[in-house]
Amino acid sequence: MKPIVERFFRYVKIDTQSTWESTDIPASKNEFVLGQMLVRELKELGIENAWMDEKAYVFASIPSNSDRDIPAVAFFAHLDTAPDETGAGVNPRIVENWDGEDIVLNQNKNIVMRVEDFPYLRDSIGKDIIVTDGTTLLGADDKAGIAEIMEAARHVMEHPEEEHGEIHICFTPDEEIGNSTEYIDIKNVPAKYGYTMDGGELGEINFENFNAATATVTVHGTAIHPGESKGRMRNAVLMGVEFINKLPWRESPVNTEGYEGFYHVTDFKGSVDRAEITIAVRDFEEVGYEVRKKRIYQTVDFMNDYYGPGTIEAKIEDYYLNMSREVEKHPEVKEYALEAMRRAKIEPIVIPIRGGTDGSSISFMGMPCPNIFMGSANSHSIYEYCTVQSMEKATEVILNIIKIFAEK
Amino acid sequence: MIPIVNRFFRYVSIDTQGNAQENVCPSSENQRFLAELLLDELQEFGVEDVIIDEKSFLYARIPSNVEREVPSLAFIAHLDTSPEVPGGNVKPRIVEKYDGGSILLNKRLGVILSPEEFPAMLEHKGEDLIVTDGTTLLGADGKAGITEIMEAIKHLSEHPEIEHGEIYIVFTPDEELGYSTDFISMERVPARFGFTVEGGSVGEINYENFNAATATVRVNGSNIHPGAARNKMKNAVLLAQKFISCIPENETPESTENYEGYYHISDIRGGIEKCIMTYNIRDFNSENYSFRKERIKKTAEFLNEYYGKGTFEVQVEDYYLNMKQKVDAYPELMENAEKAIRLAGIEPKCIPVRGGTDGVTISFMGMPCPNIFSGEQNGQSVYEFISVQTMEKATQVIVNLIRIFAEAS
Repeated sequence: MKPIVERFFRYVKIDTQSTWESTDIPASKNEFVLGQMLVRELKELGIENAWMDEKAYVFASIPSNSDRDIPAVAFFAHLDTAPDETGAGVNPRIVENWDGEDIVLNQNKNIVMRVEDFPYLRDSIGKDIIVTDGTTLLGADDKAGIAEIMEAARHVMEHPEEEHGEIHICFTPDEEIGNSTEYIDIKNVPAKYGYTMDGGELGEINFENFNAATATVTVHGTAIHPGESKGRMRNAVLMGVEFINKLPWRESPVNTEGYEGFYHVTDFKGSVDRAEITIAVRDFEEVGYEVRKKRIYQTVDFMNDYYGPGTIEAKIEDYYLNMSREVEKHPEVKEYALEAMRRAKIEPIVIPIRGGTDGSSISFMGMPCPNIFMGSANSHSIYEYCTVQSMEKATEVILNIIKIFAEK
Repeated sequence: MIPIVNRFFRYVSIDTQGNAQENVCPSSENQRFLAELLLDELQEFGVEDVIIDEKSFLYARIPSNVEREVPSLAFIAHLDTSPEVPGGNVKPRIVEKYDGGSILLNKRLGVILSPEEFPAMLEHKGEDLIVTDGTTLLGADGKAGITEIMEAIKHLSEHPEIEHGEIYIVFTPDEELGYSTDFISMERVPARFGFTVEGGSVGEINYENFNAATATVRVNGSNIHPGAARNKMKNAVLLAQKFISCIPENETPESTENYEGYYHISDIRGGIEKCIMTYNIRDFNSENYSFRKERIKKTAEFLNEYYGKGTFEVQVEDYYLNMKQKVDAYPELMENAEKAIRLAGIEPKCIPVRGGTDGVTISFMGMPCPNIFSGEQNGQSVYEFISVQTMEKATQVIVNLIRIFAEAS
């Protein structure tokens, strides 16, 4: 078995599933276990400065071996797996030189990964596909990213003749529940540029993500015994429905794609006296983003004009912002990554992320941080898979980036 | 102070507020305390057969004093007060010969009881009103009924010449929490007819109430990362909204009155994957009631036709039914009740109850049980008040009922 596959199998067998219910940091104790394993392996590679903090963040750095002033670069991946599907008892299997036929994941349970359902599988014909046994997720999101960074580190340590600047490695816990950058002590990653290895399939690279806000709309009704309420009851649920009606229905997740933004009602709860609506506001463009937020307030005003001041209130909070604002200030962070891909003979597929990414918060902490593919697909489900070849290509891209930074 | 006011003040000074957090009956210890006080007082009137059970229900029985067969009657009121408003440290005050203006309940807090807001006050011009100090409820919701029943029993004890059949008294705990009918032992109240004494203005009598069902509508959506949701996501909240839009918007509590029924969405909770709505369906007429229940189911079917089978699931359960069908079986019941009210010099007002009463459940347990007014107004609020003269009238009506049922037989 190839070293990267061995490494990957070793990591996915540790169940590091995050759960929304957990109030611990990290959410799963096993993130410590995986973190410790990685610190040990990094040290075995000869990287002395490798350690884990009390929240399971793993930090490591490889000093520059050059006299020249080369900017420090960092690579990030996350330790946890998604809450959507169990990560316990992952039993990975390689389908070598895949022939393009449906893949039986589990004979007993009759779980089959059909090409018809996942047509993009065809891109992997002839490759070695790593799949699950149909009872768990694979955990390639993001243990493939970890394995690739680890393999790249091994290469760097085994080839001292190759010139490089300072290299930082950071593995974070609890990305899947939105906490990975919440508790990061970025002082421990003093790099000028960063890359998260958490993208999708071969060639994917992201420089942009949504601007995201959460709007909480509170409706105040008047509860009166319903039998005696003619002309007096004001039902907060019905006024809430009216509010939702006033949002443009065509601008919802189900009707948008590409660079289109949306309003997304994620939650509605309440009774006659009080109701609360949660709306996710998303847009790539700064102007569009502000317009959307303003529209929520306008809708509130419009309704209050009829129902009386204070009937409806909105509170809008930024959740994360489009990293392109930061990335565009440093075009080299884009250019070098694209060149690193071309040198690895990969056609870059630049995709705006219709969501958030850790690189967004990291970018706004002062380190522009695009996201690069780690080679998996069907994340968060039992159909998750990755190919050995994509993982090798991702490792190559990491090494190329290190090389290009040293060259320039 | 006249005896009935004295009595009422004594009862409201005991804080018997129910506690929704306690899953026991009685939900507050003071309800038992009040029951014990009432037991003592009944015994002083010479009522021998009184017990308080382990859940603080007080049951009393006064034997018939005539040879002939007379239908037995039960009178029912409740010990607890509403958990909605502070109920401790009630400081009742009498406003004598009410002049029709506003009453300042609390100067410091600026709480005013005004006829502009509560026009029913004007019906009591010239009477003596008992009001709160604006910081608590009054407790007349429950205790006015108890006071009136107690005064009526006292009257009977002082007038052994009044002929009467067997009389039962039940004071229940936790009416506001619904335990009163959950835990009542009807075998202790083997009366022919019953009357709850509760709420309503002078002369009011209720023997019709809503048929009531609860419909639970479950919407099944499908979640997917919103950034990759195009043409795939089914947002249960937005689907729920479609459902709500299909329900006639002018048949809601806030647009109906009198005999008009309604659909009332009382609760919604959910996210993208599932959303659950609670609808209260109400109608007096049983055909309309069935139609409404059916309509909710049809709405789900109509939407499922487009959004896919199983997207909307509906469960409808009867909650309570109109007691009219039980009461109408005994025409003499309402005839005598109306007569008893007229005899007190009041014009009876038959008003349909746009809700349920304990008498509804009791009627369906086999004892037809209309409601007669106790006279309290604005229950469950700091604006609660009651007129002394109305309490006296209610007492008279109870005595009259007892007499008429004995005379008519």
